[in-house]
Amino acid sequence: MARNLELYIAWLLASIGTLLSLYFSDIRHLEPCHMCWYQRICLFPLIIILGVAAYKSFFDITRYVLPQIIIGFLFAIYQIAIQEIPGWEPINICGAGPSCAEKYDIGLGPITIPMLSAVGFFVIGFLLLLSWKRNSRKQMEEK
Amino acid sequence: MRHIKSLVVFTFIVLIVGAGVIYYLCTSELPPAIEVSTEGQPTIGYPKARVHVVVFEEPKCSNCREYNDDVYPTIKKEFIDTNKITYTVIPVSFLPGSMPAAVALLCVYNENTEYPNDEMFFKYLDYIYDHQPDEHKDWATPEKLSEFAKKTSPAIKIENLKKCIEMETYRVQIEKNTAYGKEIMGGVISTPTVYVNGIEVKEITVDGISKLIKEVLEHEGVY
Repeated sequence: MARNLELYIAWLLASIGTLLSLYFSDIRHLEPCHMCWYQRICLFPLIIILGVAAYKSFFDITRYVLPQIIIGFLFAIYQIAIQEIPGWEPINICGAGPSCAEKYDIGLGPITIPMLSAVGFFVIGFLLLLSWKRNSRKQMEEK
Repeated sequence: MRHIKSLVVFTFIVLIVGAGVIYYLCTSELPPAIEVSTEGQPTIGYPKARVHVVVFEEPKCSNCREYNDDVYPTIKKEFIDTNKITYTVIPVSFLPGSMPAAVALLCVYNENTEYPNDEMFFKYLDYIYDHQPDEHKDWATPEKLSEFAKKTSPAIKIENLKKCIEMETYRVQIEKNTAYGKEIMGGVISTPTVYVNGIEVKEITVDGISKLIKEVLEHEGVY
């Protein structure tokens, strides 16, 4: 019996996050700003990478994907900051196109898309670390 | 370990099918629309049509000229002349030196202030775009605009028009239009911008606009 479900749940969250992101852009027609695209770049590949890893129970995958999860998380935090602190935007990454500081109303009150993104990256990263830790301890015991 | 493999495959199928179903169910709806006010703006087509197309145009912009030369004739033939839509142009001005041209359009439109002449406005607008000099030249002078008006229709009283342009009679109205465009476009105005019942057209081509008009007509139960 597989006891290590963290990897599977992390993959599920990444998939749900991707679908949610596509839902906002393609069905609700909220145009993604540059920051959103950077976070998407960090998130979308996870559905393939974590999917294969979950299938193969390859818990070492954490080493490979943790960097991009941290980068995505930092982008999300930065975007939350420029949305919540009016007028604060030290580096203008957004360029032309939709404003990154503009909050889209997604019907969840004060919760914005980058907040969902930050929580998503955090939980995925946390679960991956957990599964990796537990697995390496198990391997140690086996030795 | 076998369980987790089946679980992953099962989840994968559920996600794909679920996404497909949601996409199918949701995309049959039209994109979100905004309210576009057209009171007092030059309008042609069937006044009570269920579909209202609104275009923001700037007399000096070369993309507007392209729109008028390549796209508008087909829209006119297929939807305006067949009384399927109402069609409004909101003239704006933000390019350097275009204010006289924008004012001239409203001067022609309001030559008789009690009965604004929609047909004449569109005729004059067409003529301006057909003969529009380069965007970077400062061509929009009262003389040039009067000359255009003279060629548009002998019915336009040139002396009145010249006076109207020189006095910038409709400057305030043009500035209001421009501010309004900026407001509904979210801070940055661009032309041509086309709205079909308040839905912004993404791709300003014959196909892009016709497709949206047809979808909205269908949605309104006209087709």
